[in-house]
Parts: sequence; C-alpha cells; structure tokens
Amino acid sequence: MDKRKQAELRSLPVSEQAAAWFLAFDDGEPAGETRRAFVTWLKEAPTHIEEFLQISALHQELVDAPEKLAAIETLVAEARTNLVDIAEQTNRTAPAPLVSRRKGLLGVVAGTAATLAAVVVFVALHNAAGPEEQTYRTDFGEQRSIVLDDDSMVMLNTESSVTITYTGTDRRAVLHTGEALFEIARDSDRPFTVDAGPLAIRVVGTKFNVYRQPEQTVLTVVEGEVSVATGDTAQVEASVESPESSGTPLQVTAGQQLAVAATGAVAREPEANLERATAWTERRLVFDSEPLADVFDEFNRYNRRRVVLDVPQLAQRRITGVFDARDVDTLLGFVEGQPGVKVERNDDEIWVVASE
Amino acid sequence: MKHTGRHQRVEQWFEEYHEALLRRLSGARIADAEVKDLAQEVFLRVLRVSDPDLVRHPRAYLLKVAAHVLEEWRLRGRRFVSTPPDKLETLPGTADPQTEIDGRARARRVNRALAELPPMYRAAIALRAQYGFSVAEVAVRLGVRERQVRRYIEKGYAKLRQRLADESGASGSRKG
Repeated sequence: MDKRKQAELRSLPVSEQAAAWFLAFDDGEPAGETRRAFVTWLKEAPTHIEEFLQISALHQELVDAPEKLAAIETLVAEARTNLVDIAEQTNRTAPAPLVSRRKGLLGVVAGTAATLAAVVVFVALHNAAGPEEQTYRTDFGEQRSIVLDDDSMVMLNTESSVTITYTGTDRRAVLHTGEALFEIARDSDRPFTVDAGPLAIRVVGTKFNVYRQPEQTVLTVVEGEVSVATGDTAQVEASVESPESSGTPLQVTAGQQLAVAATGAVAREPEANLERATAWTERRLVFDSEPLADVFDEFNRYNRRRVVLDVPQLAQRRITGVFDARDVDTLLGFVEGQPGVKVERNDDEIWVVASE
Repeated sequence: MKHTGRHQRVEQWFEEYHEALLRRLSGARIADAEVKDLAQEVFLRVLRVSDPDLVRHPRAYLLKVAAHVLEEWRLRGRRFVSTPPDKLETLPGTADPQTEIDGRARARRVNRALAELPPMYRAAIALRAQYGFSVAEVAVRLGVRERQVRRYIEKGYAKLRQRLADESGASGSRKG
C-alpha cells in the first residue's frame, strides 16, 4: 500500500480502512514500511482492531462457504454487463464551455512564465491521452455503482444516467436524469463538477447526493462542503474562481439540502434527513410523515408493477416508516386494512380503490 | 537469538490456527458486542508490545493476542465461546459436527448478503475470496483496474459487515 493510498484511507469509514489493510496482507506479507503503517493504525483505536478482526472473520466465512456464490462465468458476465454500456455518443465534448473554462484557468495561474509553461505542458500531455468520457445508465429498478479512475465512486439509482469526463485538469459529471450519490476522492488540483439541470456543483472531495427530477433538482451534502451555482458548471467555476465578477457561489455544508427548481428558485433545508436522502443506496425507503400518494410514487420508481392510488381521501394520509423498496406488499397490507378500501392486482398494476 | 525462536513460533501458530480463530469470531459464534470487548482488550495488550516485535508479523501477532484473550476469558468462564478449545495451541479444526452445521448456516447467510450487493462488488469478492484469484487476476477477468478491484472489495466488505451486523442485531436483541 503506497503513501498516497494510506493518506486517502484516512477519509474512509473504519470498516473500509480495515478491509484495505486486510487486502494489503492477503496477497502475502507486505513490505516493512507498510507493516509499520499498519501497526500505527492498529495502535490508534480499539475500533481499528475490532473492524480488522471482523473483516478477517468475514473473509474466512466467505472462504469457508461450502457453496460458492455463483459460477465464475456468471459472476464475470453479470459484472461486465453492469460495467460498460458506454453510450457510444463518442466524445460529445461540448467545446464551447471547455475552451472558455480553460482560458479562465490560464488567466488565474498566468503569474509567471514558468507556471504558464507547466500548464501548457500539462494540458498538452493530457490532450495526447484524450479525455475519458463514459456514460453510465441504469434501467428500471436497477442500481449500479461505478468506481472511477481516481477511486471516486458514483452510485447510480434506478432509471438514471450520468456522463463522466476526466481530463488532466478537471473531473466532470453530467447527471442527465435520475439520482446519484457521489463520493469524490480529494484532489485539490482537479475539482469535480456536476451539472444537474438547474444547478451546478463544484467540489474538491466530499460525499453528496443529487436527485434530478423534471421540476427540481435536490442536492444533499453528506460530508464536507460543496459550492453551488444555479445554471451550468461554467457558472459555478467562474463564481468560485472570481466571486467578485460572477457572484459568490452558494456553499452547502454537510447535513444541508438545497432544492433548485427548474425556474431557478432556491430553497435551503439546513437540517436535512441524511438517512432518508441516501437510503436508496441500501434499497430502503424512508418516509417521515409523507402523503401516501408520494409514498407510492417512490415505490413505483423501483417496481415494475405500479401502484395506482384511486382513493382521494387516502392520498393525503401521512406515512412514517422505513421500507424495503422492493416490498410494496407490507404497505399494501396496511392500506388494505383500512375500512372502505380494497386492492386489486393485475399483471402490470396494483389498484387501490374504494370498496363501494 | 531467542527473538528468532519466538517469531518462528508466532509464524507457525499463525499458519496453523488463525483460520480456526477467525471461524470462532465470525457470525453467530460471538456477538458483535463481545468482539468489541475483545478488541478493547487486544488493543490494550497490543499497545504494550514493542514495535519491532509487532512490525515483524503484525497480523499474526494481532490474531495470536486475540486468541490468548479468548482463551483467558474461556478459563474465567465467560460464556460466549461455544466450542471451548482445550488449549490455545489446539484450537479445534472443522471436524466437530456442530461446527459444520453452524458453518453451513453461516455460509448461507453470508452468501445471501453477498448476493444482495451490486454485481461488480459481488463478483470481485467472490472471485477473490471463494475462487482464490489474486486482485490482479480479478482485475483482468472483470476488465477493470486493480485499484478499482480493491475499492470494490473494500466497499463490499464494509457493506457486508453492516448488513450482517444489522441482521444479527435485529434477530438477536429485539426488545419489546
């Protein structure tokens, strides 16, 4: 495990740190320097030891399992289909904003000829490699997570699509539709920007959820702090780099939520329900006094058989609870128990109707 | 030279017994809360071990200390060690029929949790742990970089841990 990796490790949850250390030893005893770093880590906290023991035991359980999860071919095929349905839209590189942003960047660093030369070389090198652009999509009911080149992760919710472009100087994502949880590795030289309809986000390294809906986009910051501008990524870049001319970017910090309507109207929630915003990554749905109509809409994002609620007096009924996104039956059972309500199922839909 | 002797013993112990120890730690055998206690005790002891000794075979040392603590607790009558070894040096293998039944139940549980992970995670983990491929080999098969494989496994193990802990918490200590 190299130095950089060890430094990055510190920002991860302890169980992931433990797993990384486990892997460092699992391929044979590592070099002395790595072993020393491991000892330092062990001596830092009992939880480090606890997680290392737990992860090691978990691994042993997997090794011992008398039946393997699936055949090698199956595992590989499933993983590979999930990996690259790269939309072959071949380098739709949007030249205009890219060029203007480059100029802005050059302007900022054009202090000395030396730095300028360095930047030119850097840009030239990167151009030789060409920008890496990939588009990832999820189908109905599907979720996938993508590890990017710099170990950043993007978890994509159902019916979502995102295009990721990495260059030598920046990291960009466009969330075309749907919802994504971004966990961005820190790289202060290469900010990460997300274009999500009415709002654009710029971060150096942090964790946040973006849910792009037709009428609004909702940003929830789980860790760290992000800069936001309404409009596109060029605007957020400009406002971060020269706030005096382009207006100060909005700062959204951990625990906060920002909803930007398609019209540009901004609403800030200072104490967001983080569990709820990220529950989808565990395929859980968390509701805190939500109208039943909205609750069913949310279930309908994950289940092909849609629920149609046709009892107006139930639509505003408030629901609080945590559900498995694929298990709508629990909730239907509750609804079915209400007086004057019945549930009718056909192949495509589940109707909740008044029972005369 | 006595150092060399001791280190040989640590290594030898590790080769022979660490898997048995980890089996005892895993799943239903020892509750998470007890692993927490164990880690606390191991932590205090590890702090007292001199760094050069520890650095030589840190993982083996850690597990050896954990095995010692478990053994001491068993002698003092703490209840959680379900199949008490006679001695630390003779931790039971897998021949015990009850161990095998437990093992199968746990394996089903862990495979079920693994199946719930996204395809990339479960492929990386199953190929590494169950088929014994190296990280480099897994990377080639899955068509991704080695560091990405590592990341999938790290994240995946963390998720599995969480899931299994939630499960045992939910079934083990549900209060009214």
